[in-house]
Amino acid sequence: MTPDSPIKLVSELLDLPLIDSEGSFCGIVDDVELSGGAGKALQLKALLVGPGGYRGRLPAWAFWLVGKLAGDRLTQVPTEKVRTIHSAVHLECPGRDLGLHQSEAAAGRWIPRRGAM
Amino acid sequence: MRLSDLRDKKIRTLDGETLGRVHEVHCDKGRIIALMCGPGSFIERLTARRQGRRIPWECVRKVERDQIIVTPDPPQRKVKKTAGPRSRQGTRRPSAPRSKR
Amino acid sequence: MNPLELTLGIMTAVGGFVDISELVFAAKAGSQFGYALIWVFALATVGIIVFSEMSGRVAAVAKQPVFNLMRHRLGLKLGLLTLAASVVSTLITCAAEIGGVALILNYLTGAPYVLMAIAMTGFFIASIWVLPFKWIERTYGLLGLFMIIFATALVAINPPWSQFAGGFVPQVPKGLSTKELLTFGYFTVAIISAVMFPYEVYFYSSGGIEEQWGPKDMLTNRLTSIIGMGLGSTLAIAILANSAQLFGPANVDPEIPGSAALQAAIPFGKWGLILALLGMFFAVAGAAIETCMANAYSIAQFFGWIWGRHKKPWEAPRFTLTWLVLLMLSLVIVLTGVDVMVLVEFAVLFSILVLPLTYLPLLLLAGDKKYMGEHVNGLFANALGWLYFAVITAAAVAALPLFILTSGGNG
Repeated sequence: MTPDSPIKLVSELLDLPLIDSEGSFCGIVDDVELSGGAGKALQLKALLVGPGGYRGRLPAWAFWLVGKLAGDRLTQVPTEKVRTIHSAVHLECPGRDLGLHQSEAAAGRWIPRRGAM
Repeated sequence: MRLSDLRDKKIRTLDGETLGRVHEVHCDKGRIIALMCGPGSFIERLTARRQGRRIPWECVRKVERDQIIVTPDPPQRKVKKTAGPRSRQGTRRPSAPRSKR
Repeated sequence: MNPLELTLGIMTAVGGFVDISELVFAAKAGSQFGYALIWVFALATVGIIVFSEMSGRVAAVAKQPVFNLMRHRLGLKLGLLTLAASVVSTLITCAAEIGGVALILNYLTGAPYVLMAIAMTGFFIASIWVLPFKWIERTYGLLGLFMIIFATALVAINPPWSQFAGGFVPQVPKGLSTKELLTFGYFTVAIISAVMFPYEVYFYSSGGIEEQWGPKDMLTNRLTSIIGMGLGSTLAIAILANSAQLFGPANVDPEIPGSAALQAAIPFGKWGLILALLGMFFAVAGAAIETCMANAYSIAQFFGWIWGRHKKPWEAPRFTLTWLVLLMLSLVIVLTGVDVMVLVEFAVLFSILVLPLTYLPLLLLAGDKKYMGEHVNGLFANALGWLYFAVITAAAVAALPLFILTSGGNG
């Protein structure tokens, strides 16, 4: 399946993991950005990745808690960068090109790079 | 607008009739073509099967904070479950030559 | 299929089957109800085989571990609730395993319990940091094969084999008072929970992806689940039967985990005791690492982070920080001084409540032809899967009332 195929956004796209062209996990589809509105065409614009995507999906108090724990960062992945959609969303490029590995990089500063086989 | 702005919203006609809650959004060629509403949202999600009432996007008049307003008489077509081998009933069509056993 | 790899995989599953909860409940079940609960172990073992095989198959075909499926099928709200419940229950289980290991080391060496808990946590951190996934799994799993001493002890004490065999027939002992009947019901639910702990399925499916299983590994998956877990279950049943034969008639209630080791000491003396304690040590230590990793897998998979011990710790930083924090939290729970047996009770209770939400998405996905293609659940797998889902749902509903009414199985 590709973004141009007939697709059910809730049961076939939302909450799927994203895998970039290097095979790395780079988040989950937390929401979907649409362009347009009522009375005109509504288009699929981008996938939204990050805790900021929980805003419309959790009660306000839960989103506040998530914000305190994990922040409200949100990354937009344009649908043009999506190669296929099946049990995961496969991207055409590395996740870092889309700004998807920033939190991993930030966490990586805490990890010493020695000792592992 | 986001998908979460549509999902779980109540669908109401201009006449005030409530048709259900949005539990699925259909998309084709990158365009939203229909909303699905009605009961069984949890089952629909779990089983990924098609059930409920289909509202074409053209019938949507307004998207408000907690409801979506549609034309008074959107198409009544209820989507059946995915067709399987048993869905064909009645007269059998002329068959191909039967295999000899 | 490499026969050596397959054999090692099976042996790892055998040695890694028993954890502190099974140890405790098998010993107590045997001392209180004789052989009457053997059938529950057998029933639960078939259940864990069914779901493990499914989770391994989904990992190999859809390339998705269990928690990715859960979020996709349950949605964010219900998925978060399941994640939170699962993390809490597995955290308590991990704390129970660390406490159990510290107790066992205390028996073996006489060293203080608290010092051993801290030392073992440090050792686990070092193990997970240094060793690649396969070595972690194999080391503790294979060393857990010392547990075979319990099966050997059972043969040595020559129990009434007809009664032992009769224990495999589903039954409720006659002549029980209401309180004893409720306690029997509680043990039934607790054994199902202890054998079918959700962390086992999370770890097994994530392990399948760590080892890059594909459709060609279907047979490996099936044989490892069936033979490995089937044989592993015989060790737990041996502990129950030993307890029935040795502790029950003497009215000994094996309140502490170390009591189980006496089962091997009675027929084999000092060396039996040492081998039993070593077996328990490696089995429980392996379970401590498994529970910690399973929790880290769940969290990382739910939020879409890079995860896996096939990567170096700095290549999956958030996953690494997660398992480090979880181990430390488990240690903190142990250091509060709460009794290991209390931790075990709560671990079992929380886990059974989470089980239906864990297994339902797995069952649905394994039966979805769109994802699984030709490897979709057949009629038999589907029937068994749904039957066991009904069983665990009934157990989940009954668990809390039975826990309260029986004061955690103490009558």
